[in-house]
Amino acid sequence: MKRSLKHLLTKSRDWEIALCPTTNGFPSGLIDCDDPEAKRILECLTFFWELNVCLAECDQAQDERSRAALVAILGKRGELDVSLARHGVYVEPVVAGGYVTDVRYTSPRHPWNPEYCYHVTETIDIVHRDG
Amino acid sequence: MANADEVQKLIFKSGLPPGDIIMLTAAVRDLHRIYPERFMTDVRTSYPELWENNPYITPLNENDPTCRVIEFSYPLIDLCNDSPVHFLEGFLEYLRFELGVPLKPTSFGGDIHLSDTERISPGPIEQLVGTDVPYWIIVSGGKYDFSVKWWRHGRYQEVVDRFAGKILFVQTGQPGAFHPPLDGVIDLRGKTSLRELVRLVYFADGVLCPITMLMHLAAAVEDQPETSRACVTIAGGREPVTWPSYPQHQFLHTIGALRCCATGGCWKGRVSKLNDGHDSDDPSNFCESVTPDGQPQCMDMIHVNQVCEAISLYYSGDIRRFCNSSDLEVSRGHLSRTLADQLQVQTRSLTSVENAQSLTT
Repeated sequence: MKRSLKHLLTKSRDWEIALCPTTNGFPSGLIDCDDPEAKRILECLTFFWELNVCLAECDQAQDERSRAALVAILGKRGELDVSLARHGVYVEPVVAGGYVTDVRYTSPRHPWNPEYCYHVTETIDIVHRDG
Repeated sequence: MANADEVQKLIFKSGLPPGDIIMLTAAVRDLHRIYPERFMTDVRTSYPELWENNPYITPLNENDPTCRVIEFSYPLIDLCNDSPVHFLEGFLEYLRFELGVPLKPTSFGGDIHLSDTERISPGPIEQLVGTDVPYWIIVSGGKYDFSVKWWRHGRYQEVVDRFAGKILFVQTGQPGAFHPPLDGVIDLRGKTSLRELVRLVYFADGVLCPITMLMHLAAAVEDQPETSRACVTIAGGREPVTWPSYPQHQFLHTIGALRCCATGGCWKGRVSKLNDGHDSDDPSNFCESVTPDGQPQCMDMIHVNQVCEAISLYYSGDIRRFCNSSDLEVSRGHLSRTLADQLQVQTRSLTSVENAQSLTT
């Protein structure tokens, strides 16, 4: 099943995902939603999405509870990294203006065609819908 | 062998990885040292940067009928679990067989040469930070075909954190391989050519890495005067100690501690399937002893304390010194920052308190 990751993410989260054009001829923005690699990408994006939500809440509420939530979610980053490392994946969040705006995703597989492509780095831009 | 008075022309070919080519540089050196002026040698190998400034290379033409081409391999590796042989002997043994002459290693390392300009010009880190600061190179991952060589990323980070203020680490790594970023280091991942890496090694105090090309480079690049380059290799149980290790290195291994590497290296490639279509994804190539969270047992058995002690050992003598405060001051602005730092989490909370106070007054 091929679906647009952008559609999927936009539907489930208030974020838009712009996938960089691929360099090896596979169509950009299409992903097999049943593929484990796609699920891992979603897991990463969800993590950083929740982190951004937490950061926004911290800025707005300005209380200890929101700060504790922020520290807690940052503390879970290690678990995410270990989970991804099992599959040879690591992510590098890019920060701008106090929020995570991009995630560089490095994997031995290609989310668009995991059977034939490996050792790729995809930059996934996270753009807030209102931004 | 041809008449001893004749100079033999040889072209060595190999498409092997860079660590192997470093070993080939040693074989060429040893051939010339043992038989001076008996051979003219040229190479056709991958990673030609490793041969720059090499005094044993003479341009030869493959079409010259007096020129012999030798394609290299090192079958000696098949004996390394049972015999006391070193990687340096691999190509020499093959060359001995091909040429029919006695050969043996003449030095404990590969043979990488720098030009005078490379030696005298300010090192890459000095160029970056503006002054000569002592540093170690750190490689905290590796290629996908050998995930058994990877040590936990969090442990590498802990080592960096423990030496914060004492040792400046410079992270390197090949683009497209598994090299997660470390915090508190100078990040040169994917930013150095192989030749720049050679220079980076030349000016480095030490190297921290798994079994990889860099450990061989650490032993192959000439040392600074009156010193030797430190290297701590986190090796686990994949390769027998005698094959890849060097006397001046700290080689942290688990040979003899696990059934899977009781008497020698397992030579496995991956911990588990990566589903990337690579040849290494065959289950016969998988580590036999994996922790519940997917780490090779042999690598997991090597702890942060052990690595820190191995590094500290190099500072317990009279050869090298830790960074001083001025070194740290100049390099601070070039260090990678934690995500929390980048997100200014601490500042946010302070701002929150300040804002809250201003709202109530």
